[in-house]
Amino acid sequence: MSEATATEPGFRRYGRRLLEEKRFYQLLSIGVVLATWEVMAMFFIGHFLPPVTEVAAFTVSIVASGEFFVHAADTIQRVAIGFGAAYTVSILLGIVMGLYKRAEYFFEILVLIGITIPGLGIVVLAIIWFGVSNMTAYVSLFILATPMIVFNFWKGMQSLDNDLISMAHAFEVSRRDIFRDVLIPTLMPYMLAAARFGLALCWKIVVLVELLALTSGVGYMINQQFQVYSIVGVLGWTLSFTLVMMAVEFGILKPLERRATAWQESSDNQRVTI
Amino acid sequence: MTQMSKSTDTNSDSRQVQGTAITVENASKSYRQADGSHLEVLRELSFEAEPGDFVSILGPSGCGKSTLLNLIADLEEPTSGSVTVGTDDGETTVGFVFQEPRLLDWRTVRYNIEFGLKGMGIPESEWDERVDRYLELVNLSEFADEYPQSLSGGMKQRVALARAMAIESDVILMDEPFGALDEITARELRQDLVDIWQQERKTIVFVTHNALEAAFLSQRVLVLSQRPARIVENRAVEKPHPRDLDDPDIVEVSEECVDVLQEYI
Repeated sequence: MSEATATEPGFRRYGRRLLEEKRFYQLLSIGVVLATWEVMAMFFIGHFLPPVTEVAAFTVSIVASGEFFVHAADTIQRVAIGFGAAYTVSILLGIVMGLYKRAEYFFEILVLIGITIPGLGIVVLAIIWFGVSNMTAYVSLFILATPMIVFNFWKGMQSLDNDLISMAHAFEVSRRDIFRDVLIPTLMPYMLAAARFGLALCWKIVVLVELLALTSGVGYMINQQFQVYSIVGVLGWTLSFTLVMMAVEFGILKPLERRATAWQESSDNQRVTI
Repeated sequence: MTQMSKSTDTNSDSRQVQGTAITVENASKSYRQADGSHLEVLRELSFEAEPGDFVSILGPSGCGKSTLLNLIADLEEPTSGSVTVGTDDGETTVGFVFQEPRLLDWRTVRYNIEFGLKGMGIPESEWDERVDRYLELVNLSEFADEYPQSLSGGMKQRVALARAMAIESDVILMDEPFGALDEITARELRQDLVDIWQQERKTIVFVTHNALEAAFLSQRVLVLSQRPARIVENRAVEKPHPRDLDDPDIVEVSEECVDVLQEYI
């Protein structure tokens, strides 16, 4: 056997490499949570906490019947429009606040009030104004997400390097190219952070709106399960939709981030030692 | 002008035709401050630089050296007097090197140089050739496709020099370009700058607060006073290149300049 002569057995070398892998720890943490859940379910006999397998089976059944896709599509469409509008307006507002002092003075206080305002209050108001309609979702998302996204863009504008702008002026670079090669790359990390926080907020609010006022969507289905006190149902709908949100994170945001920060040295190796 | 410092013998004819590279006449600059008062930065400066001259501007920190460069680069207008670059057809461009490299960290070295070329309206068909030529001039040919983050401070400043040279203007302005570098790297870059200047024969205006650096590099040193800055010394450095940093002539010039500086602080 040739392995016998190696100084280190293959499986141990493989194990050592595994301990350096980020993916390994990600899977491990999810595994630990699921195992803890499963163990807890054994002790709480009855309806307090169903076993993982039962929730998984429920999730498979709503996916297989197509019910999940119908409601998830409604929820996604509401988020896409509400978040999309908030994001577009926020880019413009953030840039204007960064460029013009008076605009900053005017909007700053509104942004600060906006990020502290209780979400539920706005949602209830929107229900009173627009009733059982998608508009209730759009307006709630727009009002609640905009201040938070603006805040991020505005911070990004503050990080713009004036030295680079004056260099660009010295080389007579056009305004369009300054936007493309200086402004956008500087803002990119903030645009991604804003998208991430904004979307996370929108997922949470849209489920609340659907639960309180609408007749379709994941939030509506969670409410249906709540009406019959089905913990399996509530967990099943909640977790399956979480998977959709994770797909957006890993399928869209993370790859975008990797592309935008390709020029930077990997931050994994930069660690603070105290 | 007190000095006719250089090679009057070789090309006085062409100089007649070309005129001076830079003419500053009684240029003053003041700014209105927030409280309404005027801050006088430059007071009635006059000097000329011939094509191919290497002129250093030496002065205490905050005396307005950078403002003077901005006037020459046409980034600011003098409050009174005039600043003329080239033949005054209004379209003369200058290359600029700053104290910091001021590179786009998210773009490759090549793109950073193209950024200047694009700004100056150089046709895209010439970009490749120019980038290659000027990266070779600063000894960075094999780094064209790297990002600035992987370069040392000295190398970044070389890229900035290549960016300024690549637009092929007659005049290069340099604002304390080696001030933030360690002394060993700075020495290396100074020598390289002299070599490049002798090869390319650009007019260079070099701002510094380092008297020895000014004496080592240039054909002429202008010493500015404390704000409001005036030219208090216009000193030719006759010693031909290649020079040594500890050459007695160079050290003498630098000490004279320091004496003048101290007198006006």
